[in-house]
Formats: sequence, structure tokens, C-alpha cells
Amino acid sequence: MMFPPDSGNTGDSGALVAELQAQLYRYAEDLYVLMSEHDELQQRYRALDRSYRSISDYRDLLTTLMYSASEAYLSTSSGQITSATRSAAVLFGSDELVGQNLRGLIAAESLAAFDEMQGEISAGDNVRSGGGRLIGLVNASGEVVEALVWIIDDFSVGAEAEQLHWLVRPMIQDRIHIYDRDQSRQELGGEAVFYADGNGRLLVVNDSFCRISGYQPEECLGQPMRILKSGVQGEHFYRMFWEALKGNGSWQGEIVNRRKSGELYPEWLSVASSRDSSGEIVGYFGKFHDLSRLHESEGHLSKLAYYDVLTGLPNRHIFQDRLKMAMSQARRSNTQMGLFFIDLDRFKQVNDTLGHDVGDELLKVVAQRLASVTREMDTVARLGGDEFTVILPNLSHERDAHAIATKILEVFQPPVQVGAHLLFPSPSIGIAMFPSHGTDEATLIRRADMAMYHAKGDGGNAFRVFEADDEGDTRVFSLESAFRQALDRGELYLVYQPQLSADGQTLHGVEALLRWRSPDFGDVSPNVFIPIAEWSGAIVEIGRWVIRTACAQMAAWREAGCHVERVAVNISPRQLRDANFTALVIEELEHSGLPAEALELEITESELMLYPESTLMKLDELRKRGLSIAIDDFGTGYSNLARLRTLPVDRIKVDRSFVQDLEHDGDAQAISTCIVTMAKVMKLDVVAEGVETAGQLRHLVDQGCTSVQGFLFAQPMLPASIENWIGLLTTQTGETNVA
Amino acid sequence: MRKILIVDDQPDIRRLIHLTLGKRYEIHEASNAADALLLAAEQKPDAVILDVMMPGDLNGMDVLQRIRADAELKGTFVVMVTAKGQQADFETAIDAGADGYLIKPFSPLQLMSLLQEHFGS
Repeated sequence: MMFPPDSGNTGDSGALVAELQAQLYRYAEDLYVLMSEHDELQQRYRALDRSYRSISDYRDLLTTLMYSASEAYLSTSSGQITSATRSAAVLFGSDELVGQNLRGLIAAESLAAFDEMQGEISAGDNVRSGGGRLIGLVNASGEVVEALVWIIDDFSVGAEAEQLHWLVRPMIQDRIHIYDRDQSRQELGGEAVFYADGNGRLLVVNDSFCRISGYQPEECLGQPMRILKSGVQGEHFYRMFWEALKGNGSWQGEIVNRRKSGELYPEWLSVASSRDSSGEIVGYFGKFHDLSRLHESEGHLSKLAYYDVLTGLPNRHIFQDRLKMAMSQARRSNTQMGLFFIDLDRFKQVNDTLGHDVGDELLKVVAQRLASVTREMDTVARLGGDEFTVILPNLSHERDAHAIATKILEVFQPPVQVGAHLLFPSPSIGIAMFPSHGTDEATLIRRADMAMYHAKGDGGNAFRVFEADDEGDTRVFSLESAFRQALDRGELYLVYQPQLSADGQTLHGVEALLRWRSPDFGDVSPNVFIPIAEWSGAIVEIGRWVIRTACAQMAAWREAGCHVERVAVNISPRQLRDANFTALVIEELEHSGLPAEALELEITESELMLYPESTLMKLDELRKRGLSIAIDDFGTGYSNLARLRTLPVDRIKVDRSFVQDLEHDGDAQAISTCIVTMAKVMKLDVVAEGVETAGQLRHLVDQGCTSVQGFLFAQPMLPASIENWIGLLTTQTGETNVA
Repeated sequence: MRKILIVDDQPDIRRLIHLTLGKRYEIHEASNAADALLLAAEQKPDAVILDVMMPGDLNGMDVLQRIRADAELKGTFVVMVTAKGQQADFETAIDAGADGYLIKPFSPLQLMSLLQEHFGS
């Protein structure tokens, strides 16, 4: 690829390719975001689909129950049954109703009434308006079942009187076991369905119910639903459960129940209440399926207990699940979500002095109090010990969270009587908000926890919202204060990395790199402390120290007969803006006695492009005195090539990110080829940074790059090691090669 | 359909922005400041996506200033686009009356939402 010297700012250059590439990556990132949202929507769709199916199941169940438990329909033609609903079969205890004479199924004492009904219909009277007749029916076992019977003519307008439709409503609400004749359904682990009356007593169960629970129909029918209760869910759970059925009218979720054998098993349960016209609950429809096999296959058996046994609150497992859900819901609906971490003040003292039984009782009361002030959609969970958490979805403002936290503080006010002890519990509440304090679970949890500790530190019985200062920022703070003293304490030092000819034979110079070894923090990465130095302003003083130290080192090497051509030091924008910068550099140079040619200043590309002319003039002035200027991290910024040609620059350094990708990324190859070619056109030297493999080197040599720096040849070294290293290089290649 | 004027000297970037916005808006493109001003006067766009760095005598900032000084165009919604880390440009652009500011590489979703917020989707 060639660059005409006057090509100027056309699209055909490395920097523009890089910019476009960066822009394309940005598009890819957004695409990824959209795809994740798509995934989330799909999951939501699936959840909706599942609930739709549950609703359909309920409808089917209702139909089943309507036919089986209450009413039966029959049609007769000249007294012969021509069709019967399944419920009729249940009612009469016979599957072979069709073809029988209905009159034959009527108890002897009701025959007169039955005949009278038929007489009325032939006389054209409206039988329905008079209400049903109480008729005795004989079922297959010979028992008499009393039922209200109507003849309904609505369906047979204009039909002959011989064709009659009958509605039969048994007077005795019998308990019914629905036989699931479909074997395949059972084998597939069919769903248990049941119907219980308003008092929770089981009236209808199916085969699967019996199979899963282990109870025979005669053992469970008429019994309260709680025969299945395992005790794993606490009181709190059941209070929520019944409240949901009375309020919403339905509940669904995973619970642990107990089989007749005593074995615990997880089930996915859906229950809905049914009401009469006055709104009174008259019964409960329910269905569940056994999850134990599913859990076994998922290896989740150990997580059988999803609820905390002591308080009946969800445990950590469910908490995490709910948190995830609440966050994605908040993300979708653009609302906020609050996360509370709650810890009891001085709880350990209660346990230690009054014993665990008292502590446990206290925790139960605390759980109840927390549950009593939170909203239905909130999740109160116990994470362990005296640690509770509340997830508050769907908040429109942080102050909504404050209001709930205030309520929690209030509800804790009354003392708690446990046995002979009167306890005064108080909470410390830490609050973190999604998304303002964190957009991932770990951060949100950590920050709520952090805020909770601060609340406790403030004396407890208080809530505190996370503040940026609470966190890690304490680490930055202490790092910062430690760094402030680093220079005075002599904790900063320089290492030097050789820059060589591409054949590795000739030393062109070294780059001085700043290091910090802190007694408290160990070796701290420049990526961490340089930004601290930048914004604290310390960089100006440190930068000067770097120049002085590097120059002094160069002079020392030369004195010791170890000739290093040039040392490059990194200059920060803040140093360069300093009005005295030029004078200062010259002063340090003169102080060391080094010739100006021995010092090179490295400035990153992105910063160089930002400087106003006045700053560039400083560089130009230094350059005229003999110093050289290198552009660092070249290829990562957005360079105006036309302007690059006017900059006072001797050398550009190809950013390590391109070098790293040279062997397997065509774009990186193209970009570095561009840079090297362009540099040649502009008569600039090129140094490739971060050369680590022979493959990378080969590419660079092919492209015409003449100078390299990287682990392949030498890592950054302390001054003494540099001397040894240069010694080895000269013995190998002869002194003349050290340029 | 609302009109958007894209001003960027790089055809590839213009094309990307065109792809991003073309389904919702009528797009006009200019590759330099002079063309941008001519097109703006002619088309009266509802919004201008304006690259700061452009070759020629005038850059994006100059275009912005002229739009703000023009009686007919001064209400135009202007989003400035510039390279990473040029904080100074950001401040200059806001001072000069830019309504929005994007840093390259910019997020296409952000660009869309900037416009949607302004136009009330």
C-alpha cells in the first residue's frame, strides 16, 4: 500500500481505517445489546406462553369439574338416552348410559314426579321457570342419589317432544376421584389436579394427585389440603399464600410438600380460588406437578429447601433469582429497583447472652415485621444469621425506597417479648438503587451491603443510601494518599526497556518506564497510579522527577562506558501545558550534562492531536534544540493526517494492540502496514511496541519496520540489568553495532 | 418524514449513519462544511449530525455557529460528532449551542435515542 505524499486527509489511511473499524465495533456492540434484549423478550414471551397454558389448563379443569362435580347433561329420544356428558357417567357411575332408558335410572319413589315433568313439557309448560324437581336417581351401585332435574328446552326449539335435554344437578356434593384413563399422560408424569371446598377440604382429585401424593382417593378426599404440608415453608409463607388466594385469587410457585410416605418433594403448584356471585370464596382449584425428577436431573436436589426453615422467608437461592428478575424487569420497564440489606443491631449479644432459642424467636418476629411493611411485589429474604434483604421492584424514585425504609424503622419500634425477655431490636438498613448504584447483581449487593455497614457505623437504627464515597473509593483514596507520599519516600523508580533494530543486533535507545512499589499495596500498576497522578496534579512534579532521573541515569551509564544513544520518557498532557515546561526540560538536561539528542519525549497520539498551536510550539522549540519527539500509541487515536505532517515529530510508535494482532488479524496487518508506509513517506522513524513473538517480528520486518521494542528481545529492566544486558549484546555483536 | 442532514467527510461514516437513520428519516448528506451550509439552507433539515473535524476552511464548529446565526436555521437540532477524548471540543460545542454530542466511535442506539427524544419518537 502506498501513500502519495500529498494524499492528505483521504479515506485511504490507517487512521481512518482504524476509526471506521472502531465505529463498526460500536455497531456490533449495540447489535449485541439488541440481541440480548431480544433474548429477554423471548424469555418473557415463553413465560407468558406458559401462563397462557396454565390458564387453558384451568379452563379445562373448570370444564371437567363442572361436568363431574356439579351438573350433568343428558339427551333422550323417546326416553332412550342418546348422549350423556362425562359428568353424567360419573354421577350414575356408569360409562354405558347411551341406549339405556332414563326412566330405568329413576328411583321408584321419584317415578311419579319424573312422569309429571314429562307430562308438563308435552303440555307446553315451561318447566324451567318452575325450578327443578327433586328426583332420586339410582347409580350403578344401586345407591340413590338425589338430584335436581330440569328438562331444558332451549336447545330444542322446534324439535319434537320426544327429544329432550336434561340437566341434572346432584344434591349431594360427593367427593370425586377423576380417573385419568389416558395412560400416556400418567407415564409422562401427568399433572395432579384437585378441587377443594371453601374450607380447603379436598373434594376432587385425579389419578396423578394420588400417584404423586401417595394417598388413595379414599384417604385424601374430605381431608384438608394441609395433609400435604411439609413444614418446610414457614408460617410466613402460608400467610402470603392465603393472602394471595384471597386477594389476587391465585398463587403459583414452587413449594416443598410431603408424600404420604413422609418423603419431601418439590412441586410446581398453581392454585386459584373460585367465588360465588357475592364474591365469597367457595372453593379452590389447583394443579401441580412433581419436580423431584427434574431437580434430580439438574443436580439440584440439595437445593430442596428454597425457603428459610426458621422464618419461612425465601432463602439466598430464591433471593438471587428474584433479584435477577427484578433487575431485568426494571430494565425493561425503565423503572428503578431498590435493594435493602438489613442487619439487626447487637443481635449477637442476644444470641450470646440469652441463647439461640431466644435469638431464633426474635428473628421470626423480625421476619414478620419486615413482611408486614413491605409491598406484595417486594421480596423479603433471609440470607442467614440476622441478615435480611428486601428487593423492591418498580420504584419510580429513590424516595419511595426511603419511605419503605422509614416504615421498617417504625415497625421495629415496639419491643419484642420472647418468653421472659423484653427485647428492643433495631435494624441497620443499607440501600442501593438500580440502576443508579449498579447495573449488575454483584455490584448492587456489594453496595447495599456497604451502605448497611455505614448505617451501622453511624450507630444503627438507621437507613443509609449508598454513596460513591462508601466504596472501593476508600481504596482509591488511600492509594491516592499513599501515592502522594510515594515520591518523597522513594517508592517510585524507573525501569528501562531497550529499543532495538529489527534484527535484534543494534541498540537504538531505551524507554524509561515509571514503576511504583508501595509498602502497603505492593507493586501497583501504572494503569492505576498514573490516572491518580494525573488528576491529583502530582504528575507535574513526578514528570519532572522522571526526566531528571532518566537523564542522570543516562549520564551515569555513559560515565561507566556503557553508551546508550537515547532515552525516551513519557510526557503527560498536564506537564506539557505547564508554562515552564520547555525551561524545565532544558534545565534538567543541562544539569545532567547530557546532549539534547540523548533525550526523547513521548506523547500519546490522542493527546498530541488536542494540543493548541502554542503547545506544539514548545515541542518545536525543544526539537530545534536537538531533542526528539515520538508519538506514542500510534493508531489508536483519530489523527488528522494533514495535521500530522505539520507536527514537530521524529518518530511514531505503533501501538501494541496492532502488534499483538498481527499474526491473526488482517485489519491489524493492514493498519500497521499503513502506519509504517506512511511514516516512510513522512520520513519518520517507526518503533513497534509490544513485540512478543517471532511471527509478529516477521510481519513487522516485511512491512519495513526498522525498530522494535518488546519482550521478544528484552523486558523493562533496572539500570544495573541494562548494563549487563548491553554488555552481553556488545560481546555477541561487537561494539560497533551499538549505535 | 423529518429531514436529517449528515455532515462528515468520510463516506463510510456517512453510510453507517444513513443506515442507522434511513428507515425513519429523510437523509441528506454533505461531505464538507460548504456543502453542508448550502444543503441546510436548501432543505431546512430538522436535525443535523455534524462531524467536528473536517478538511477545508470551515470545520463542524463553524457550521454550527453559522446555523445558530441564521434566522431560518437557528432552531435546528444539531448533534456534534467528534473523536474520542476531545473534552475541549465538547465544551466548545456546548457553548456554541450544540443540542447533542457524540464521541466517535459513537453508539448508533444513542444517536437514535437522541433524535427520538428530541422529536418525541
